[in-house]
Amino acid sequence: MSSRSRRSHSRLLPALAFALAAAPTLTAQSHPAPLLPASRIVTLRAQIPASIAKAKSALLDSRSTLGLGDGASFLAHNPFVNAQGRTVAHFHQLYEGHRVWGAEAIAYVEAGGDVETLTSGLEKQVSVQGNPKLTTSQAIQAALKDLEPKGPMTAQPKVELVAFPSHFTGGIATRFDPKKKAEVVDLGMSTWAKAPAEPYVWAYEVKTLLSNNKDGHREMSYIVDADTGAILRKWNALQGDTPASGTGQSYYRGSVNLSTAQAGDGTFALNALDKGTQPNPYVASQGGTQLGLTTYYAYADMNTGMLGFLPYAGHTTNAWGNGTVYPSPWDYVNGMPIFDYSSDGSQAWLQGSLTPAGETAAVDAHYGLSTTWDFYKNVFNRDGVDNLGTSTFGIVHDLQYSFWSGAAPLQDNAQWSPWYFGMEFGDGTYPDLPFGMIAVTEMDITGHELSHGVTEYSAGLIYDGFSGALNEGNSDFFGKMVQAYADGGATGTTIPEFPAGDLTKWEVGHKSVPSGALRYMYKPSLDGLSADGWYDGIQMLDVHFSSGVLNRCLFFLSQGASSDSSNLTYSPYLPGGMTGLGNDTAARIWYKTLTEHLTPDADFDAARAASIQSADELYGAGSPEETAVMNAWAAVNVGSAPGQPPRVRVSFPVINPPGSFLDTNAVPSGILAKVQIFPTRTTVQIHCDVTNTTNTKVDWSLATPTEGNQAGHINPDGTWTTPGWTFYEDLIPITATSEADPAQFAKGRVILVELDADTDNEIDAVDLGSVAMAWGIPTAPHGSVNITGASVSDWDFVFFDQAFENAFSVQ
Amino acid sequence: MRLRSYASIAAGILLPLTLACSGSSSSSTTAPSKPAKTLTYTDPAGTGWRLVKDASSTSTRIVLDLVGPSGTKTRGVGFNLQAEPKAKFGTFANGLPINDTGVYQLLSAAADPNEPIALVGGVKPGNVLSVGIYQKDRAQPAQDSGAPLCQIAVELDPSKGLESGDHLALSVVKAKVIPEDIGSASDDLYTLNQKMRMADITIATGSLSAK
Repeated sequence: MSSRSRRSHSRLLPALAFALAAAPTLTAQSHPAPLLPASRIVTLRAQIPASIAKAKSALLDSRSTLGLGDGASFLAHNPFVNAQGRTVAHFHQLYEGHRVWGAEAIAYVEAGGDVETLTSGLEKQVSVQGNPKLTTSQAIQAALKDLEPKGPMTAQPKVELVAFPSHFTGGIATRFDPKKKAEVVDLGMSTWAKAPAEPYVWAYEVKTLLSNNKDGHREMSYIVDADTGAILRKWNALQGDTPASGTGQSYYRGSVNLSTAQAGDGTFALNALDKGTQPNPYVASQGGTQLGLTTYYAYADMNTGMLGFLPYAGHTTNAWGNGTVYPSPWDYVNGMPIFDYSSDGSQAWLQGSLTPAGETAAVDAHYGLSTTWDFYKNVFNRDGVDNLGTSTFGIVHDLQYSFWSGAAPLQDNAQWSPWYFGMEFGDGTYPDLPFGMIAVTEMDITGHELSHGVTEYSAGLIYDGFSGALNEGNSDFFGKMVQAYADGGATGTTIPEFPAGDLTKWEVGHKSVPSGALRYMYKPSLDGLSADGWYDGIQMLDVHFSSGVLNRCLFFLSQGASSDSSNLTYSPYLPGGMTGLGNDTAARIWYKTLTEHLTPDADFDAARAASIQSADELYGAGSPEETAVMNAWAAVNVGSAPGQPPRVRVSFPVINPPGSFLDTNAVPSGILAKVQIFPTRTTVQIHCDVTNTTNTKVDWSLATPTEGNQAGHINPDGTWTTPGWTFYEDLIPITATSEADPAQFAKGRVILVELDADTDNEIDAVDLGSVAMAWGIPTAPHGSVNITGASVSDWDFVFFDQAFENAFSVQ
Repeated sequence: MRLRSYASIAAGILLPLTLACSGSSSSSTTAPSKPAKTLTYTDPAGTGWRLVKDASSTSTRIVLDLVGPSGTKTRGVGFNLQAEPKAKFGTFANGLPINDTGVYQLLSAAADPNEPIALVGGVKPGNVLSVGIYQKDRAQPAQDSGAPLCQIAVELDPSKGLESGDHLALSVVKAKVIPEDIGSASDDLYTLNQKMRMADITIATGSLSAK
C-alpha cells in the first residue's frame, strides 16, 4: 500500500468521527433538517460573506487543536447555500499565506448559525524550512523542459507558490495500450522524482496551455520543487473520457429545442443566453466576450499554427443540423485530415463542419450541455459549473496535434478543459474503425464532461489514483442522471427513472459505440478492464477503469442488486442483493456527498463515510436510505453491510520498505514497494497476506501480453512454480485469490528473472559470479547474464539477490 | 574414540536387562544412542582451495574459512557444498549463510554504502549450501586467494537427532572462481566472450564429526 493510500485510509477515522458527532444516534432513525422556503434561502445567500467569516473564525480558533500552528490560515472558495439553509464553504489551507497543496477543510454554517467543520483533509504540523530558491521563471523553465513544447505556448503559464506535502510526490501513470489490450506503465506521464526528505517543501504549481498544430491541445500541470527544480508531480489537467464520442443530434434523440441567440442582423448562433450570467474567462483572456453556453467548431490558423475555435453563428433559419452523421474527416489511406478552408486560406477546419451534417454534432453538444446545465439548475439549484453562473462552452469537430499534417480530428474522445472552462468533443472513428465511436456528443457524455467541471469547483477530486476514480465515476453517474432527466422531458426538479430492467440505459456511450459501450455501470468488468469492486492493487488501474467501483456502487444505490448469481447485477459481496432507492434519491445523496463532504484526495473509504453522512443528513441516521448506502458500498467490496462479519482480505505485503534499494532508487518512491521478484521455472513461496479467515490459501494467475496467461493452485506448503518465461524487464500482473472466499483477491506485480546466468541449467550462487563479471558492460557477452536489460548494473544484483532469496531461503 | 566405546558398552549392558524384564530373550540389540553435544572439524591437508576451521568456532558452531592457494589472484568465488541432512548451515550477522572477510571489494570504486553487493547464499533442496562472494567492480584489481576469502558455518542442531560419533560428510560438488583476467570493457565482444568465463576449482573439505 503506498504512503498516499495509507494516509487516505487513515482519514476515514476523523470522517467517521464527524458523522457520529453530527448524528444523535445511529441506532434509531433521526429526522433530517427540513427544507427552507425560497425566500429564506435568498436571505441566507446574502449572508454568505458573514457565514464564511464565521466559519473561518471557527477554523482559526481550532488551529492548535488541529495541530496547524499559528501561521496557518484559510481561504474560502465556492460557497453555496443548500436546500436546508446550510452554507457550505470549502477552504484552502494556507501556510504563511500560501496554499497547502491538496489540503482543504469544509465548513458548514447552519441556518441557525451553528458551525461545524470537516478537517480530515487538512495537513497537520505543516512546516517548511527555508525560502524558495527558484524564481517563478526558473520554475516555469523546469516545467517547460519536461513539457517539451513543439509549437508556441498558447498562454503564459500560471504559477503559484505552494507548500507541497512530500507524500504527494510522484505517481506512476498508466495507460491503456490498445495493441497489448492491457494497462501498461505510461513512462512519459509518470513522475520519476524522489520524494523530498522533509515532509513539506516549497514548490511551484505551474499550469500550462498548449493549443497548436504541433502539440494539439494539452494542459499539463506541474509541481516543481522550489529548492531543486525537480518535477515532483505532473498531470494532464484535461479530464477526458476514453474513448468518448458523439455525432448527430437527431440521429439519437430526434428533434430537440435549442436555446440560441439572435444577432442584430437577424441571424442566429448556438449561444444559450439563459445558461451563464458571467463571461467565460478564457474567451475574455483572448479579448472576446462570451455570455451564455456556446457551441463552437475548431479551426487551425494556417499562418501561426495555433488551434482555435469559431462560433456556430450567422445562421439564417435557426434550424440546425439534418440528423445525419458523416464519417470522421480523416483520410485513412493517406493518413491525413480532410480540411475546408476560409476564403483567404488562413483558416482550416474539418471538412463538413459547417454543412448541415456537420451542424448535427453541434446540435447534439449544444442540446446535451444545455440539458446538463438545466439539470444542475433545476434539480440541485446549482448555477452552472462553478455555481456562480460562469459561462462555459463546447467545441465540436475538435482538432488535435498530428505529426503528418499539423492537425487532426480529436477522435474517440471528449474532455473537460480547466483552462478553457469548456469542453471539447471529437468526431469519432466509426465506421472507418469498427470499434470506434460515431461521435462524442451523446447525452451521457456531454453530461459526463460538464460534471468534471462541477467536480473541479466542488470536491476538487485530484484526477489521479483513488480520487481520480471517484472523479470519473461521478461523471459517469451524473452523465446518466442527465440522460434520465432528458428522457423524462428535461423539465422539473426531480430525476425520472429509466424504463425498468433496461440495463442499456446504464451503459456509457451505448449509442455512440456501435460495437458495445464505453463502460457498463451495472457490471463494469464487461469491458474486460474495469473493476467490479475494490481490491488491493486497484490503484494501478487507469481512473477510467478503477471508476468501476463507484459506477457499480451508484448503480446499486439507484437500481438495487440482484440475489440471483446469474444476473448481471448480482454482487458476490452482497449475495442477498438489495433494493435501490431510485435515481432521484441516489443522485441527491451523491450530489451532497460531492459538494459538501468530499475533499480533493478522497479515497473509497472516505467516499463511503461521506455518503453515509449525506444520507444521514438528508434522511436521518438509521434510515432505509442510510442502510442502502452501506449496502451499495458493501456490494462493491468497500466496507461491510450492516450485520456482515469482517471480510476476508487479501493483500500483497510490502517487500521493499523505505530505505531498501528498490525503494531508494526506484522513483516515485514506493512504486516497487510490493513487487516480488522470482526466478523463472522455480518452486518458490508467494508472499501474500490473507486475514479474517483461518484458510489462508490463495490461488495465483499471471498474465502478460506476449506470453499469455498462466494460473494454478498453491501447493499445500504454500509454494508454487513460476513459469518458464525468461528475461522480463517489465512488471507482470499477478492475481492472488483467496480459496476461503474466491470473491476476494489482490492484484500485484512480479518480475520473473532468469537466474541461470552461466547457462549450466542450474540455479545457484555461482551464477552471481557471471553477473559480477559483466558489471558495467553495456552488452554482456553471455545473453543470460543480464537481468534488467541495458548494461549490467546494481539492479541486476538486487534482482538476483531477491529472486535467489525467494528460491532458496536459509533453513 | 575410547570414551565413545565405553559409553556404548555401558548402555549395552543396561538395555538387555531392561528388555529381559519385558519378556524378550534377545541379546543382539544395538547400543542406545547418545545425543551429540559438540562438533569437531579437522582441516584438510594441502595448500590448494580448502575449507579450514576458523578460530572463532565454538563447540557447537564450526566456522569454516575458504582459503585458496597463495599467489593465485581471483575476483570472487562461489561453490555448492553438499552436507548430510543432519548438518545445519548457520547464518551470520548479515542474515546470510556466508560472511565477507573483507578481501574482495564488494562495492564499486565510487562506494555507496547502500548499493547492493555481490554476496548471496541459500540452501537448496538436498541440504546443498550455495554461496558466492564476488567483486563487483571489474576495474578493481584481483585479490590474492591465500587469505580467508569468506566464511560459512555449520551448527549443531539438537532437533536433527545428531548422535555422538556421527560423521557428517561434506563435499563441494561445484566450485568456480572469477579469474584475474576477465578482459576489459574496451575489448571486442569476441575477446570478452572468451575471457569472461569462470574457472572450475576443487575445494577440499575436512572431517566434521559430532560428539
